[in-house]
Amino acid sequence: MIPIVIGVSFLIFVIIDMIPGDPGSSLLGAGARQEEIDMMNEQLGYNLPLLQRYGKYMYDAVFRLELGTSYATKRPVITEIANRLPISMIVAFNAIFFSLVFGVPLGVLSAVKQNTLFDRIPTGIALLMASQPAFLIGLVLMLIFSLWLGWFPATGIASWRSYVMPMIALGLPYGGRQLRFTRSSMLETIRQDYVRTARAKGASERLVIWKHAMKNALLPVITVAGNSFGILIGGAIATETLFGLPGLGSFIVSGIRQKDVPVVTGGIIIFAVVFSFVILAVDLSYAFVDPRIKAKYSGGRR
Amino acid sequence: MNSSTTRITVDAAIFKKESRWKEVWRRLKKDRLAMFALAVISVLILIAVFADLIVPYETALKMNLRQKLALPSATHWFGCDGYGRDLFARCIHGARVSLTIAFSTAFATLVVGSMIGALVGYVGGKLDDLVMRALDIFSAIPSILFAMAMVAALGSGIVNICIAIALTNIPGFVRIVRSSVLNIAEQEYIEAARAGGTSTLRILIKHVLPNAVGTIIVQTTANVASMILIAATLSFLGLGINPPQPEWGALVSEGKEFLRTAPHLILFPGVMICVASFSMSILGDGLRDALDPRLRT
Repeated sequence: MIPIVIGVSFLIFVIIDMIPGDPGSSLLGAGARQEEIDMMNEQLGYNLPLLQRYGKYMYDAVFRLELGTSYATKRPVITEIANRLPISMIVAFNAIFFSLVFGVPLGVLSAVKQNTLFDRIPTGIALLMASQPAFLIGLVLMLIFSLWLGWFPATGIASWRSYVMPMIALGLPYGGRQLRFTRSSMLETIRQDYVRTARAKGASERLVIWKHAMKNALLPVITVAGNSFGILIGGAIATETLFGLPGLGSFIVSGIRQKDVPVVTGGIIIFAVVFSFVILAVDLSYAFVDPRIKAKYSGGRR
Repeated sequence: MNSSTTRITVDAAIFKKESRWKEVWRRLKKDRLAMFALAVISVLILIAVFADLIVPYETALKMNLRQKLALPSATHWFGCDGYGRDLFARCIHGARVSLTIAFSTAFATLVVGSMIGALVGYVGGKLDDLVMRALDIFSAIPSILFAMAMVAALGSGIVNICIAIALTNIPGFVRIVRSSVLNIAEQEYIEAARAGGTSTLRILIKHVLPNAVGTIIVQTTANVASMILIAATLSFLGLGINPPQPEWGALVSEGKEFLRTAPHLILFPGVMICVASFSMSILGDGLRDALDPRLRT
């Protein structure tokens, strides 16, 4: 986990460093004199070698919670991120929740009713949704529900209503993936011997599917949900920009447009850290879901 | 198909090289949906290749403010955009840009990814550890963010987008090829080849990679679909191609300013993105089933 964060931040630092321009002239603006720019660069340590600058950046980030100052707004990047990250998280987790709510049950349904209309229609729609960019779904929703029907605001955040369309726009493609993985995982599980045993001993079909099969089929689904969190973040950036939500994603996009180096570096590193935490949480959650893993670890202590 | 015929075809595939691909093609032909998707993709590729013959590139750039936001008509099949440019011409030439990006990045990923994947999977040991740890770092950055950072550093333009998107996709591809190679490397025929004194490079090229081809093809098809989406998303965010060059995602982005008054501006390029990516996904599913009938669920 820690080596990955160090690796990620270094990689991002090096890539962003290739953006032309220097912090002095960006911060002071076009009217500044060359001596002032040089002094500012000197003060910020811009003339130091890359590795030293990276070390200083990480030291400030970890021990002083400093990520530099935005060139555009002149405000500390860390406060901007602290204000914006919760909005991105709400959007992302809403979408995950929404996608699981329709993806998993429909995936189970289409596996159980394999090759019937209850299978073909949901899987067809799921594939269609999974091959859409989130911004396209968002635009169609915007057109129908805010411009034509006026049910939800098109942009900005005023109330909970503003979160509804981003949730659906992001959740539909993500949920399409969930549905497909749930279906294939479930199909594999219901052919296992223990499912046949459960049926043979006379357990009701509902119990067999939802208890015996479901519990085992869900494991890969959790992995996929965690791993495709990256795809979700990608969609979230476009969705935030489209719906004008002041989240971290739209912050980075505007940072890139304005060549605002501290914003881009800080924003991407924070996103990557959150992403690694999600992957870690997914790994840990196995222990709760899968009794075999739990037994392996508690066995040693006993 | 029952299990005994499956076994016979698998055996035949080992003895006779061509018959495996004939077999795959025969199975794919039976999948009507996949064949339809293949036809759609072929048409899109033909459109992209012969875009200039369908409508000259100048038409896609020529502004005519009197035609601003014109609705679809006999002269302008898809209507006109905010500058009065013919949307049909922009969609057709957008196909060239979008599909070039998608296919060339998928090809670059295929070549680089399968070489690295096969090498580390087969050689193993320290090299494998080192490469896999490096890939962990790459995959901890969400792909769109990584591509955005690369485009910011390199500047916009088709070549830079291709580099950015290919780099973000190589780690996943390496992982998939590697795990498939790990399985193959344990097979007896590889051991036999090694015992016979065949060089590592020759084993990789002649024996390991051909057996991973199925996985590689399926993954590449899926990659083209997802790269169409990534390229469209990047352009939508204004980080892709340089305007006024037409690209599907950029066309949607230009069109969203006129969402209320002229929704057809997002409709046509949107449908193009949707059709291209959807057919690639369907074809990918069809190929997966055709290459490995045991996986058919």
